Amino acid sequence: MSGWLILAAILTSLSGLVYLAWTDPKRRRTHDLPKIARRPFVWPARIATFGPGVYLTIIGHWSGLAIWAGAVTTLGWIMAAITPETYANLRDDLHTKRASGWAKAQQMSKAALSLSAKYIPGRVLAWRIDLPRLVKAPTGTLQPADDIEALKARISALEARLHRLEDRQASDVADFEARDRIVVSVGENQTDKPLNAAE
Amino acid sequence: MARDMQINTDVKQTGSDAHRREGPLFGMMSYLKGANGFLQSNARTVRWVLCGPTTLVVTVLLMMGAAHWLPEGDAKVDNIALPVLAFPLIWVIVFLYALAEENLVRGVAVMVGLIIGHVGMLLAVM
Amino acid sequence: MSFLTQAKTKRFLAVHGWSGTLLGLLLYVCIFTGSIVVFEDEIDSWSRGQIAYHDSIGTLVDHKFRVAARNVDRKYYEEVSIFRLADGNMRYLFHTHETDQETGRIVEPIVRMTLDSETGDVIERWEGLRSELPSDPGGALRNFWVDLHVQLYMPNPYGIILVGVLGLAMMFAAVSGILIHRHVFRDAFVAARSSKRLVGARDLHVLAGAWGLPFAVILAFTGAFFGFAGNVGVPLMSMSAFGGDQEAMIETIVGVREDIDLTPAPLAALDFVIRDGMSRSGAAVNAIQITNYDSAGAKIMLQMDPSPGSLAPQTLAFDGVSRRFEGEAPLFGQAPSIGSSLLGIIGPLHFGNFAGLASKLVWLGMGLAMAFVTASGMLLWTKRREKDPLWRGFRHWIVVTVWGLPFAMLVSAVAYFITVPVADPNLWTPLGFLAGAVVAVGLGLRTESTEARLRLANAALCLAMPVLRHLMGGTSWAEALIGGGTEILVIDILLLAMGLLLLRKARPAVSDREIAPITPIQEPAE
Repeated sequence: MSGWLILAAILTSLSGLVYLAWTDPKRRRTHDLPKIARRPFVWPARIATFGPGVYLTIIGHWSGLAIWAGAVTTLGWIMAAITPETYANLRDDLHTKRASGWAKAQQMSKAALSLSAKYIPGRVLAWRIDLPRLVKAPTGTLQPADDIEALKARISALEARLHRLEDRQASDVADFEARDRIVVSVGENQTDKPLNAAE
Repeated sequence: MARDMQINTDVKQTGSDAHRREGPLFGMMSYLKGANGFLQSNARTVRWVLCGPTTLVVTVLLMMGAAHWLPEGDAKVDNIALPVLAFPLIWVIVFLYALAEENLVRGVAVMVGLIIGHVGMLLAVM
Repeated sequence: MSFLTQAKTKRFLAVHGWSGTLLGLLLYVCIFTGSIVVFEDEIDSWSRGQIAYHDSIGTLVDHKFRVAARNVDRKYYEEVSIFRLADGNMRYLFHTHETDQETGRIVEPIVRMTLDSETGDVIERWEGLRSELPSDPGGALRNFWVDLHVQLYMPNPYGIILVGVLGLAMMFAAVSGILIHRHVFRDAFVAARSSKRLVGARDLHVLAGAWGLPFAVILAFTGAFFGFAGNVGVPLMSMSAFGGDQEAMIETIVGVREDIDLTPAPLAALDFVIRDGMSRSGAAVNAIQITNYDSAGAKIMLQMDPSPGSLAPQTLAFDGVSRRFEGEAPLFGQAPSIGSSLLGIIGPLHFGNFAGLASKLVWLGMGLAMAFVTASGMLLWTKRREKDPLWRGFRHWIVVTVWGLPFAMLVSAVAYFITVPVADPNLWTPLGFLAGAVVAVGLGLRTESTEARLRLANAALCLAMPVLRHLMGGTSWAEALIGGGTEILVIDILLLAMGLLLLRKARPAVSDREIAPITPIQEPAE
């Protein structure tokens, strides 16, 4: 019971953090993602993030509170540290693999059916499979038409990634130099003024 | 006398002039100005001394002195356990102060005051 | 929100950076080893190759204890400790205090017995002074790794005080980090930009530091407490509060029982006392202390595991003859107090062992995150100065240390497994660590591909370790599964998984590579 409660608390907080991270304006701006105009669930997400900790404190479950705090900060860090590009690449890879995996599965199933068609009478097979859908190359082997679609999807994904990186490359250097100037100027400037909000 | 008055009329009547007529206070002000000058000209060394050994001494004295003003509690051990427990926190706070204090004269005065006060208290009670 | 002026920020950044850089390597060693020894009990079971009981002291100890105690002289009944070892066997320690005739110092004669967990037979008995207790060869690996964390394997008290200093430095680094980086919370979701550039290195460090902040403070505070409390804090406080009167201090903190009735009287049935303690606290019994066994003035103290939902363990006191519950014995002092309660949670908050595997896993994650913060901070500091060959060289050796430390720890484990059957592992395990460190330095002498070489070396050892453990007579996976020794299985699988992960060729992120802009294909002019 106690273990499930702590797990539920951790998952609730992580779901709030996922929303906050995904819609965070600074994260999106830094990684050249379009700004999300409206964030209607910011406060519910914040409540979801901190609420479980408050609840564990109220019921006096101190060990649960410590585990919740540690798990949320560690997992939250890992989640925030993964860049949006990496998430996008993982998603693209997943789609591509799913597409090529599906294509491969279809290819293998068709190969199995065509092999079995030699031994099973056509009348039996006819009501099970759509024989015209089998694509035969002039050499007698199966043509991987779906593989081509998977390859096209992969190429599109890679091109999109490449364009994103090229756009970031130019802004990266300028941004780095601007930030480094602020830190260097702290060492050079001897006056006792508050730091200007340079960001 | 007239010459003095003539000189005085050339001089703007300021608070420092009032101190000029009050000997011990004027002496203290000029001493403080001298100390300030010495500290500012050796700011880095002073900062090192403040943040290093002075912070450690102040922390230890604060911890030891707390045994005499913290309430003992039901078991008569809170005044011993809590200062030992708080030792790292006391050190961090004193270190942050020693590092952040812009006015070195004030910083030195606070640290020296804490040392003298706690040494005096410990000698009195021990 | 600006807490600091420019001059203050400059000072704070200088102290934050320089203290982190100068102490960073030692701090990294302390934090990384600390993360690993959160699982010291599991590592002990795994290294011994023995399946441990997960239930603490059960409810059937009374009969075996009385039979064993009959063979011990009454003078040793002054204090008796009962606890279960990592391999499941029971350990009884009978001890007393005497004054040495020659030196006049107080010594502690001991009778130590080990009972087989299943048969109850005494399989080991040792008599002598506590100071002459033979070291346990089976626990050499666990003891060495713990010692490496607690006092950097340096002599007492210098090592533990140095670790305390590292704790103070870590606390300051955490607090000053918030003050220096004004937008630490606003940047909480900003992932690192290009990690090969300086801004990316700063992003990595700031993000990890921001998320790990609360626990960095807690772990640093509790670590510094352990470093200073025993050697500095308590002696100074005894001098201050009691004017140097040690007897008065002992009487206040520990309590001195006077007029103990030593009339022979049978001890209450331990099994009932254990059951009573378990029902009161809702937790298992970790250890039992009996004072003045077999006397009318006997007392039984049950050291319990933390109750569900609480952090601190309890000690329950019972009258040794009547079984009457006398209340909870505080850790500090003779009655419950705020100070004692706070002292009681320092240990669980530092060790992370208050809720079994769940809390240990979380503490492992946080510890590794702190190690990452330390390493990334040093790399950031040196990257900013990489035009200077000295800093560039230091940066290289930071990388060697970051990867070389786990490698050296694995080599020490290899040395342990090889020498346990044939030599003294208490000697060879640290020597193995030293050899591993020398090899890591050797692998780091060439500056190209240092990280890849060390990663490969770590991978090789991780993959070889389960095989070596099995070859040297350790418990097989089949035996572990049947006997319920899951930690042996889990650690072996984790090592294999880590080895495979490290072996996987690290593809540099596309963003880190220099990408030439795509130039349109020029059609040749007609």
